[in-house]
Amino acid sequence: MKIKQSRMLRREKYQAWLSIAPTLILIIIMCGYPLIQTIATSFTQWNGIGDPNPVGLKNYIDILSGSQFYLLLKNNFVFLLFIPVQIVIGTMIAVFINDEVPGWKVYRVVYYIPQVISAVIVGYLFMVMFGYEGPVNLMLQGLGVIKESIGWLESGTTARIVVLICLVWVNIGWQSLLSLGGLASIPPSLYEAAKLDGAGYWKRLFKITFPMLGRTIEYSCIVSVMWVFTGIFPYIFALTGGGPGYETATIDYMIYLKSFSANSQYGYASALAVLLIIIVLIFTVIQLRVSDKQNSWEG
Amino acid sequence: MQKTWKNKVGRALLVAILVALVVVFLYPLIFMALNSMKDKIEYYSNAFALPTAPTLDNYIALFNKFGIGRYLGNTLLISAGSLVLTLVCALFASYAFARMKFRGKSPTYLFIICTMFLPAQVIMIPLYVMYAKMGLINTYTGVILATTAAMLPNTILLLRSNFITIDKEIFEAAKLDGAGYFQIIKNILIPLGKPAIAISSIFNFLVVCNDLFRPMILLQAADKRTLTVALAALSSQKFGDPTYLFAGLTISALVPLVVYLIFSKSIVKGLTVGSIK
Repeated sequence: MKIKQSRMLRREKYQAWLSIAPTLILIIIMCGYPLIQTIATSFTQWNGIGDPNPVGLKNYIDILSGSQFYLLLKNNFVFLLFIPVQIVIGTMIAVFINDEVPGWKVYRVVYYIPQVISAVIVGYLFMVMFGYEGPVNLMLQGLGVIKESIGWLESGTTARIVVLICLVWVNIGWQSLLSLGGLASIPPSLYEAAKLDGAGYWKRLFKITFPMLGRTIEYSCIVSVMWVFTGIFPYIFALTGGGPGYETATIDYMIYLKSFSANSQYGYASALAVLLIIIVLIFTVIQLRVSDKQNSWEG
Repeated sequence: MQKTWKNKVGRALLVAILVALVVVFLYPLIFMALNSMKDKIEYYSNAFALPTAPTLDNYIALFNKFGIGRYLGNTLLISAGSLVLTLVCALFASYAFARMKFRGKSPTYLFIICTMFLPAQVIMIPLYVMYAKMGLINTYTGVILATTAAMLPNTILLLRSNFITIDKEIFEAAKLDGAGYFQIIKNILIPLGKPAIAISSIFNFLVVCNDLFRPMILLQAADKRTLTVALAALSSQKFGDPTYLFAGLTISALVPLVVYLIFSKSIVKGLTVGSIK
C-alpha cells in the first residue's frame, strides 16, 4: 500500500511538471529571457546594428542627470490623479446600481463600454471631442464658460487634463463593477441595524459602505497604479502622441519612442525599462505595506 | 410628507445625472457612427447634425481600397490562435497548481503570476531581436506566442482559483475509478470550470482584439497588420479624411461591442468576482 502510494505521488510529481511545462517554457522564453537581456542591454550603447558597446552605468547616469526623465515621471504621477476620482465616482455609481435605481441595468452595461473598445478608438475620439471646433469647446462656449475655443491639446497643462478626463472615462465602469462585487459581500443586516439606529442614507454610505469596501478599493488602487505605469501606452499613443513636445509622454511611452522610432537607442531605452520596473516594484511594496498595516488595524 | 417629496426630487435628480452619464459614455460613439456616414465636406461644414444623405461610401472604400477585411481576418486569426493556445496551456497548468502536490509549486506559481506585472515595453526590444533571428517577425505565430505568454498569468490565476473550489473528493473518486489525466480534465475540470473558462476567454478575446503595442511592433508588413494597428496607422496620417477613419473605427468597435453585449451578463459576473483588469 505504501509503495503504491509513493509511486502514485511520484507519478503525480511527474504529471505536474509536464502540465506546467508548456506555460513555463513559453513564459521563460517570452518574458524571462528578454527581461535578463533588457537588463544586460541597459549597460550598453546600441542602435540595433552590430554589437552592443558596453558603457557601464552611462545610460543610467544620462537618464538620471537629464531633465527629461523627471518630466516623464511627473507625467506618470499626474496621471495617477485619475484614481481617486475613478474610485469615488465609480463606487457611488455602484451603490446606485446596487440600490436598483430606475434604469440600473442600462447603466451597468453602458458605463463599461469604454473598457471594451480599443484604446485607438478612445484616443482618437477624445482628440476629436477636445478638438478646436470640437463638441467640448462648443458646449463650453454655449454655456458661456469660455469666450474663445481652447486648444486643449496644444499646451501641456490642458493636454494633461484631457488625458486625465479620458482615463476617468475609460475606467469608471471598471471601478463600478468591481465595487458592485464588493457591495454584494456586505451583509444587509448591517444596513438594517443602522436604519433602526436612525442613520440616514448618506451616513450609511460613509459609515458602512465605504469602510466595508476597503478591500475592493485597495485592490483597485494597486491595479490602477500599476496600470498607469505599465498600461497607459495605447491611450497616450492615440490621444496626444506624447505631445505637445513630451508634455504628456510617460516612461513606457518614451521606451517605445527610444526603441522603435527613427533613432533607436536600445541601451538608453533598456535602462529606462529597468528604471520603470524598479518604480513599479517600489510602488507595489509600498501599497502592500500600507494595506497590511490597515488590515492589522482592522484585526 | 415633506420627506417623501424631498426623496422623490432627490431620486429624480439622481436618475437625471445617471442618464446624463449614459449620454457622456455613448455620445462619442454615436458621433463616430453618424459622421462615418457623411463625406468630408459635410463633416467639416457641420459635424453635429444628422447626415443629410447617409452614405456607405466610406465603408465600401474601406473594404475595396483599404482592405479592411484582410485586417479584420488577421485580428480574428490572431485572437483565435492566442485564445486556444492560452486556454490549453492554462488548463493543464491550473490543474497542476490547483490539485497536485509537488516540490517547488509555490515559487513556480509566484514566478508565473509575477510576469503579469511586466509591461510589454520592457521586454519588447530583446523579443524583437530574438524574433528577427528566428524569422518570427511578420508571422502570426510570433504574435500568437507573445500574446499567449502575456495572457497566461491572468488566465491561470483565474482558472486556478476556480478549480481549487471543486470538491477534492470528486478527483479522488475519479482516480479510484481509474480515470486518467486527460479524462479528469475532460470530464471534471472542463464541465465544472466552464463559467470561469468562458469568462477568461471572453476577456482574453477583448484584450487581444484591442491590443496595439505587440502586433504593432511584431507585424510590420502591411498585409499582416491587425485591425487596431492598421487603424492606428491610418489615424496618425495628418491630412486624412476623418469620416473615412470614423467608418474604420466603427467597424473595429463593432466586433468587441457585439461580443460584449452578447456576454455582458457573464462579464459583469466575472468582474464582480474580481481579479480581472
